[in-house]
Amino acid sequence: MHDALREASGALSPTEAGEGCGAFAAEVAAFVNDCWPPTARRRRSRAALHYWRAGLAERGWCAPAWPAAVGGAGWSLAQRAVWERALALAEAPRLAPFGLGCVGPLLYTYGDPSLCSEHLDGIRSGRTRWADGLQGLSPPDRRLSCRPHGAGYRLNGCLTGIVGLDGLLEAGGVGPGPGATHLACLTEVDQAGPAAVPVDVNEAGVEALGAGEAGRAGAVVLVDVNEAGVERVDGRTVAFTDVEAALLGAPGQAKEMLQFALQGPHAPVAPTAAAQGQLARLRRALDEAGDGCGGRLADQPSFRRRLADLETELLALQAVEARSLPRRAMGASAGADILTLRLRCPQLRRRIDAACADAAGYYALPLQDTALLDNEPALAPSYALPAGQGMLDACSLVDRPWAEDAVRRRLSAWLAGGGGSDIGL
Amino acid sequence: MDFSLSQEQTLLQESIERFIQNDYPFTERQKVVHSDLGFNADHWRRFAELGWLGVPFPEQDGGFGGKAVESIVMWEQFGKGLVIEPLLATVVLAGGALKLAGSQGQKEAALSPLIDGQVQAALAYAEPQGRYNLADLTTTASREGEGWRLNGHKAVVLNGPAADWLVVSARTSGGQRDAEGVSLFLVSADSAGLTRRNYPTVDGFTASEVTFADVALNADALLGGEGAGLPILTQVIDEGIVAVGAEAVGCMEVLYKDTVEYCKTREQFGQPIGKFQVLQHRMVDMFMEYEQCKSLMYMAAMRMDEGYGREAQKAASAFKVQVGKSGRFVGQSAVQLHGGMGMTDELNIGHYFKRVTMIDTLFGNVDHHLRRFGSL
Repeated sequence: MHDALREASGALSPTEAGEGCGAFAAEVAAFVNDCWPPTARRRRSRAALHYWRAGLAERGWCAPAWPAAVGGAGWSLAQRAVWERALALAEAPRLAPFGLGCVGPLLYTYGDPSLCSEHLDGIRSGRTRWADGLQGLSPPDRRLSCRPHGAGYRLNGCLTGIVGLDGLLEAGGVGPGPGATHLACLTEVDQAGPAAVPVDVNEAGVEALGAGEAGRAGAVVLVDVNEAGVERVDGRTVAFTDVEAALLGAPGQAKEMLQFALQGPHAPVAPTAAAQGQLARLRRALDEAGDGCGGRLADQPSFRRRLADLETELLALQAVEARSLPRRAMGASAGADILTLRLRCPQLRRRIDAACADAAGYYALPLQDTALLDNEPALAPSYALPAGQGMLDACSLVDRPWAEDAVRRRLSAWLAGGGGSDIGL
Repeated sequence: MDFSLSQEQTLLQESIERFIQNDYPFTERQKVVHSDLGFNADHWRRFAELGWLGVPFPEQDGGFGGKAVESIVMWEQFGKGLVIEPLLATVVLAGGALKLAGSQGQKEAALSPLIDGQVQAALAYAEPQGRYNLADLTTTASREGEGWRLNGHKAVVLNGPAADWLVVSARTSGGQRDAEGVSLFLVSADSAGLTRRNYPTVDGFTASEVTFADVALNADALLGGEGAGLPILTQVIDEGIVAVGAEAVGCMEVLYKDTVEYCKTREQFGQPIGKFQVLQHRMVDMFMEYEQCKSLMYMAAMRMDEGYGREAQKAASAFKVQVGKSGRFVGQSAVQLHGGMGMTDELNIGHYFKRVTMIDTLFGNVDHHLRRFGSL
């Protein structure tokens, strides 16, 4: 019991210590302190991001959750939890969450060797960047369609609701960055059912609509599919005209693949870590922001209460997470406890981000601090960076209510069935 | 309590509705968003011709004598159309300060051109350390001969980039947060020593960080009594609250109605998502929040028109609290129920969401107004 709670608070349990996590945690801390120092945390300049990525690449830690055979770090679950928490607390940017966290795992699990050799390396190194079209939509008059053509496939139609086409800087950063080079989206292949289709957005015949960046080729593809909850939202639009595309996996396999993407072995071990990091940022903002009455926001009873409310909720979710680790270590990918985390963690993150925006006061209004990119002095006081945009992003992240509904119905059915050990706690 | 509109008020409402339907499609609005100054000169000229810029000002000053009810009638429509022109900053805030505190000469010089649509203006009142306390000022105006020297930094000045003149709150006496000693000044935007750092806001408007370095002010720059500016500023901000609150109500109407329509058409798991009970409940909740807000809007306007005082301030704060809570809920729900489309730039939902979310930040968030309400 004590082990789990200590784990939840960030310290190592005897199990973790026994596994050598003590030394590992120290190594991680030193690395993060060097490659993503506190100064970078406050000013996410391009240079700092570059340095971070270079440090990761040097250690081979760009895709630590992948199997060692495809360039992962080969860590234990406990080590991965240590890593995720360290990154979250340092507010380190997440590299290419879609490429590393979804497309890559789908490739090495479902893709044939030629696809893997074509794409995996680029994803891991950051040479290619993937836009997420897995939950986009097609307008009815230009539905996305995919037809066999010779040895491959041809894509036609329109997709909107794509994330990351114009390349926001790594998640948690602000402002434009290099655009996506590839797009993964769902489409129907004739009548054979849905499949995921990696598409090179620079392919001739593909044009980006409404992407705002002149000359960038993009593709809009969207076909609604019965899917079990994929996590991206935020919109851009692309259209396809006879675009060459490759199929990932087999037609009809999309649902299984998407479930795998969400909850396979590569999925975050510590989903509460992100909330933990944001809460640290909130605490810092409350300490720095004046309340207009001569004190700090941290002194205001309403904010103190709100912070305590968020912290206690986080503690509870961390405990759920810690209790679920042993089952995960044995390969379980879904259970009432894990489903609870899937629902509750994003909700908590939204509330924390709303509090960060509240702490920013009027400085929630500036769109983005472009100064961070241009090496000029910051526009807003440090307690406000980059609260406004972050809150909007968090509000638009995750959780379509019908996907939430699907998870609740699973839990509900499990409860009705007696709450047995099948997906059990 | 009579909640019906007079014939003139109805005509005003209809004329704005017509303008938005015929001449202000979403694409038009987006063009303005991406412009440097953040407003369209043709639209502004039209507003002047239609008399909308003069509605809140007394007839003897060239206006139409409109009060809070006229304000909510207009601003609810502006919210529905997500009008991006800087009416709030120029007419309600800067114009409002002139209306309440301007001398005859100041009104002739500054208010008349404003009503005629010839100038843009801004109210520079917030500061980086001050949060929502209007009296927390490090910007100072120190006496020099017959005039003053202005020094300081004003935060997030709405319409700062386009403003031809600004109303600036500065301390002429007293401690940093004293109620006494706050003065308002009319400052030309091209004054020597005034610099602006311009940027877009999250909800498509423009703002500036404005710094004053030994800006020279003449005697006639003082707006109202020296050291007596706080009550004026407070009233102007409360009038601003009524305006943006009504704007939020208009936004919420579009958000919930568009969401209901969307849920009828979007299919998932083989049926329109509007058939899922959890979403039906959510849409009902959205409507109820909107309805509550709209009703409180009328109440707040009527209180304000009964005479500005403690009751009016309480009503304004109560309204702002409701707007903050409801706006966030309705906005977030709309985005979530639209799923992947929610934050697309091309669709209007994301823009309405951003506006209604930023309105919560303006002039004090929920926490601030709960505290204010409780203290009044």
